[in-house]
Amino acid sequence: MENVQELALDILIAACETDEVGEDLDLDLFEAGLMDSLASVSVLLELEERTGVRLQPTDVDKDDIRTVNKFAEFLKEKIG
Amino acid sequence: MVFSQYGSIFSVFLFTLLLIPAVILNLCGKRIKYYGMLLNIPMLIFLLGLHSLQMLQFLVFIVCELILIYGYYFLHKRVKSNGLYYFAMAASMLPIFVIKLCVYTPYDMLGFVGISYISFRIWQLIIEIHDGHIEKFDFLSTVYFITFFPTLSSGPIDRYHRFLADLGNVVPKKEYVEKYLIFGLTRIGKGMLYKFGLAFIINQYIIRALPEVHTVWSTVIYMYAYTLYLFFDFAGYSHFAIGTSYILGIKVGENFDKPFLAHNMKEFWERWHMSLSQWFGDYIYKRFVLNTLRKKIFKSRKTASRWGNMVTMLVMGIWHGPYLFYILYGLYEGGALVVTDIYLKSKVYRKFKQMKCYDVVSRIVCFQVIAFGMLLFSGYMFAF
Repeated sequence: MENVQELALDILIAACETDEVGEDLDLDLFEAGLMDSLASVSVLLELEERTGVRLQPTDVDKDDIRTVNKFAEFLKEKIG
Repeated sequence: MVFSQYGSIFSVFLFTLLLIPAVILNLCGKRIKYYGMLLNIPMLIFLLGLHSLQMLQFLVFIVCELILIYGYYFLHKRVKSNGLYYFAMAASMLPIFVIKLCVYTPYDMLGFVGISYISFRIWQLIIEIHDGHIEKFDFLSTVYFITFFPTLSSGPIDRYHRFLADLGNVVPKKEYVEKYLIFGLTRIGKGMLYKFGLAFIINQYIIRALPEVHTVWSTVIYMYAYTLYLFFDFAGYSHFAIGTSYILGIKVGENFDKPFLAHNMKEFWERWHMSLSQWFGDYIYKRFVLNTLRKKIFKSRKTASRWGNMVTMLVMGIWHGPYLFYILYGLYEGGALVVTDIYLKSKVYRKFKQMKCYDVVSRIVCFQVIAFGMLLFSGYMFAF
C-alpha cells in the first residue's frame, strides 16, 4: 500500500458521498452529520472493492471511522 | 417471594444495599468480579423464584444455550461452514419463538423474565464466534455475561468484549467513588424520580382516569400520556439498571438521550432505546445492507438501505410479541425511516434547515410521529 492516508481519504469520500470529508482530516464525521449507518456499510464495501479485504460491521468500531486520520490508523493496523 | 425487577421502592432499596460489599471490595483494592458473580445467584432467585416454573425454564434454557454456544465454538474452529452458523442461530432462536407463540396455546403461562434480553446476548455471542472475534471462552465470565442480573429484564443490551474488559478491571479508588459509586447512586435516584414519581403520576392520574369506552378524544389523550409514561417508566428502569451495573464495576451503555428533542425519526432512534437500536443496527440492518449489496440483490445502496430499514423495524416489531399491532408498529417505524431518508436527501430539507423555526417545528412534528408510533405499540387501538 503506497499511501494508506490517501486510501483512507478516498474510501471515506466515496462512502460519505462528499468531498467535504477531505477538508479537515480530524473532522468528526459523525458530529458533522456526514457519517451514518449506511455510510459505515459503504466504507466496508469500498474497502473490499479496493483492497479485497472483507470485513464485518462489528470489525470496525465507531471510533475507527470517526475521522480520516483515525481511519488511516485503523487501515495501517488491519492491512499494514 | 418473587420481586419484579426495580418494581418497587423496597426492591430497589434492597438491591442497592446488596451492592455495599462491592464498594468495600473496590476500596480495599480488590476486584468486584467474583462478588458480582456470587450476588447474581440470590438475585436471580429473587427475580425468578426458587422452586418455580420460571426458574426451571430459565435453568434448562441456559444449560441448552451454553451447550449450543460451546458446541458451535468448538466446531467453528474446525469446520468453516455457513450451514453450521445458520443452524446454530436457528437453534438458539427456537426457545424464544416457541415461548412467544405459546400465547396462542393453553400453555400461555410459559416464559420467564428476561428471555428476550438474554437471547440478545446469546445471539451476539454466536455471531461473534462466526466472525472469528472470540478467541477463548472463560466459562464463568460467559455465564455472568449472559445472566448479568442488573440488566436482566429489559437491558441495556451490553456487548461481550466491552463487558469482559470491565470485568477484568480494578478501577482506582478515587475514580471508582466519583465515576462509578456516586454516578451510580445518582442514577438510581433519578430512576426513583422517573419511575415512582413521574411515570406513576401519569399512569395513576391520566391513563387510569380515562373512560373505558374509547373515543377519539380519549385516544388522543392516551397517545400523549402513554408516550410520556413509557419514556419515564423505561428510562427510569434504565437508570436503575445502569446505576446498579456501574456500582458493580460494569460500565454498561446508555439507553436514552433526550429522545423527544429529536428533529427526525432517524435521530430519534439514535436517542431512544439506544442499546437496542445499535444492536439491531450492527447485527441486522448493516449485515442486511452489506450482504444484499455483496450478492448484488440490490444495485443501489439507497435501495438496500431502505429495505434494510423496513426489515430491521419489522423484526424489531415482531420481537415484542406475535401480535398484529406489533407487526403494524414495525411497518410504521420502518416506513417512517424510509420517509425520513427521502426527506433528509431532499432540497426542501436543506432549505428548511436554514430557517429560524427549524428546531421548534421539526421537533414538534417529529414528536407527533413518535407519539403515533407509541399508540400503535401500546395496542390501545386494538383493545375494545
